[in-house]
Amino acid sequence: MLTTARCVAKRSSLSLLKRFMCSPTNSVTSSISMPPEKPIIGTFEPIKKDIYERLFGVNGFEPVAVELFEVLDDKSIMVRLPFIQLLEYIEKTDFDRPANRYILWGRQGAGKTFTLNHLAYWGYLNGFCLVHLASPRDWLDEPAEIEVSESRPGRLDFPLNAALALRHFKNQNSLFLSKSELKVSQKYTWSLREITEQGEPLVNVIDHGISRMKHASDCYAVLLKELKIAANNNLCRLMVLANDVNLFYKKPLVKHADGRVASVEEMTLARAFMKMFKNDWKNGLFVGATYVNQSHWKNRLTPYYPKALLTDRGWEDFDPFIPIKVENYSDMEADSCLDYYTDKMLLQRPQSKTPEGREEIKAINARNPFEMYKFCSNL
Amino acid sequence: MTIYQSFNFINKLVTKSPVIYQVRWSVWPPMYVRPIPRRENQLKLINEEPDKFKELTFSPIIAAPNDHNASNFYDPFLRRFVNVVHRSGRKAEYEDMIREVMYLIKKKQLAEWRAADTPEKKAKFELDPLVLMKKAVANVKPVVITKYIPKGGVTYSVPFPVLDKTSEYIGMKWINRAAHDHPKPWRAIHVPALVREFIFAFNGEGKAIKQKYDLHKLAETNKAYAHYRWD
Repeated sequence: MLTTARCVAKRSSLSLLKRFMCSPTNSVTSSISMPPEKPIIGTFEPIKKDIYERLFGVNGFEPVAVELFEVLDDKSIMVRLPFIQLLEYIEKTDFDRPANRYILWGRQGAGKTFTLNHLAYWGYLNGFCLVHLASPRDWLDEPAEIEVSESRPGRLDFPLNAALALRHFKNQNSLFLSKSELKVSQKYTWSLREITEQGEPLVNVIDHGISRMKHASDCYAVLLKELKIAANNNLCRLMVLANDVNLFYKKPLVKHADGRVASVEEMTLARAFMKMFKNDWKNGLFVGATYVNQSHWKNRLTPYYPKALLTDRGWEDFDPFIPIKVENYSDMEADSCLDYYTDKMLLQRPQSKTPEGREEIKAINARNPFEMYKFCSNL
Repeated sequence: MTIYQSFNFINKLVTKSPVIYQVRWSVWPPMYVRPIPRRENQLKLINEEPDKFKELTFSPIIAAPNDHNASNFYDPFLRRFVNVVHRSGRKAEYEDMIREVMYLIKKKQLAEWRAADTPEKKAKFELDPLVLMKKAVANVKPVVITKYIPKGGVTYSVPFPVLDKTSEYIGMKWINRAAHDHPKPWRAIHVPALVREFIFAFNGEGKAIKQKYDLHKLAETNKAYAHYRWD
């Protein structure tokens, strides 16, 4: 019933603008509650409403997942094995060394994005500075507006997307930005009269980008550069999260005015973000999730291994990285998921509550989380 | 659309000869037995008529219809409804559409059920979409139908009794038609329209229910022509 068309919902410029206008204010009122010390696999960790709006209100979960939260009237994420593996790795990390790169990979619907967002939630609670890219498709394939850059001729700017990204960053890190005292390391001249002096707070750059959308793309690039410098100087601990990283290594759909296909190097935003892929910085970590489309029988057998998805160029960029496989539910996790659905009234058909019915749900969908939700949604 | 036009298909339906299980032109030899695809029916046979089951054990069996299955979630009602709704034989596509309808019904009902504050208000909602659809169709089912009988140069619409099976088919058809009653492109709007019509029919409102009352009224006014059924 949930068609693939809805999975990859087309984001028009109007809806982007609407999200930009309606994003929550950055007031610091929430009281932080720490998650349990040792998370248990299969349990559901609820996200508080105000934290959810701050972290994922602008961008984050896919439309299908947002709809799922709406139907269940509850926003929670299951603790899975890859999340625990990531926590173990982070625990053992020496942050004085170059940043570790992690790549989440697995079948479509296995929970890569959910794991990534769970880590974003964990990072928020543990005082990381988050740089979260939820959908690079917005930049590479269907940007809201395209402009030719004035500061760097030949490059393309996406002012609306850049302003949205800055707003997303500001929302996510409102707590962190209010506590830390990050300063700009050098003088930036945006135009004749608009200048950010050396030693001004970093928030000024973000605010300038949001209020002057023409400079937003440059502001985002400067922000990432300054964060890298700050992390190297031990002023903040950086967590860079990118969903669908392998889209950076395919042919983009964006074109120049003369009809040439633009390369990733020619887009200000993508170029700036791809600099975070390298490990020439320390005191932080990079986590990327791959994207693979296996929704139709025609592409059911497309390879989902990182080597095939990242291509040679991506493999070189990320090498060496730590691959983390996100598998389908184990038997226990599937049971836990079905219990949760029953508890939240998603399962209504009496047969779906019997042991035979539950076995059938698990067997037919091969315990794939998304497929199981799709199957259960109409029972 | 007049009432007479809208009841046209009933006439066609009733005058058609009943479909009997094919014997003369069947590809299966006469010794082949009809299949029992559902597990619950098999268990019933084993427990209640063990002798008959023993006979069937080694007899050759006709292939089961391809829209049957042994799933726990198989429902003959849904199959019948898909048979009414589908076009050009694209059953699989329309099954998906019906699943989406069920999902949206549940979503809407759950949201309203959560918003209701008192337990009395909550009791009014039916959260199981399949049960809701069955009750909606049961509400729309007509008790009596009319048929056109020409007599002495005049065509009378004569009240006739109706089989339960036929009545259910008419109910499904009316709900589908009520959802269908809007300008093109109907496929894009059909799913939310079906959701709306089902919930209307469940609460005893809407176009489909009105059509039933109209038919009952016609049968009541034409009660005097009832004897044309056999004269």
